[in-house]
Amino acid sequence: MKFELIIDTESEEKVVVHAKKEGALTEEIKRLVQAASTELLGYRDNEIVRLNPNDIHCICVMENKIYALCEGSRYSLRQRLYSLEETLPECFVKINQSCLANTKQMERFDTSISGTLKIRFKNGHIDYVSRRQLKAIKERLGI
Amino acid sequence: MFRADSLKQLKKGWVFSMNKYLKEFLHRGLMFGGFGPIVLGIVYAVLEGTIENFSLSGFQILVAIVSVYLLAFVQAGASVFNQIESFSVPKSLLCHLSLLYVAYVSCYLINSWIPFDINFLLIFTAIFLCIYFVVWTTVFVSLKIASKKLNARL
Repeated sequence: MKFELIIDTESEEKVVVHAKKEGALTEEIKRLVQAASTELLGYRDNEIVRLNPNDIHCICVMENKIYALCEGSRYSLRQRLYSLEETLPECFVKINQSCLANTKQMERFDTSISGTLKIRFKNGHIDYVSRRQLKAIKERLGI
Repeated sequence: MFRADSLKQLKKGWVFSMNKYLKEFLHRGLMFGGFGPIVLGIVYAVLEGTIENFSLSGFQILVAIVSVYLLAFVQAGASVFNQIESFSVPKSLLCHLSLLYVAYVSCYLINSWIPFDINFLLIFTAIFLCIYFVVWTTVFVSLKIASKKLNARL
């Protein structure tokens, strides 16, 4: 596949891919473009940080606030979870009613002896998968 | 002063999370509690069709509907124990099992489906534990298979 970059300050910015069929590369390009166009503003103490969705492991409701959990830090978000669900890239999937997970940042799924499925993220955070969302997660991961 | 503040914060956090689980318990109970009387109605319909002169008084039906609704409410809500992070696995399993056991035994005794006799209670307990174990094993194995498949896709 050839790569061509055209710098044009006048036109609308867009990425066009000509491919024979969809594959891992087109999926990755799609994910990167979607992530770049949906940057979020994260708030921590007195600082405001521009967050790239690819760096977010999961977005959870904690103590009635929405937090984006990244590698070693968490940022408060001002949007509602349902609006984030609509705007975030496809790699984000709802795992329970108060958490959106980035499939690219999942480390592994674990079955607990209490009969629940849990996800361990690469940053060490663990959250449970509700049975209602299991089907959606399977579909998102191509099962 | 700092210690007192920290304790206050901890207590506030614990109360908040417990309120969250209580709300979740009530939410699940309200969502699925209504299925209990539906199942009861089906069972009574089958009994009426198979047993001659099967009849119940209005009061017996009322007690059965209310108690089975509460049983289904508790059964649906009890699944929240599995999600309380501060509970260890044995603790959450024990809470789930004991709450279901108390709910089932109370419901069966109130409706006189089993007599108030130690021998019957022991048999009921053994059957209850067997069914609980079978259901738990089925859920655990199916989740284990699902997690294996999901891990292969990560």
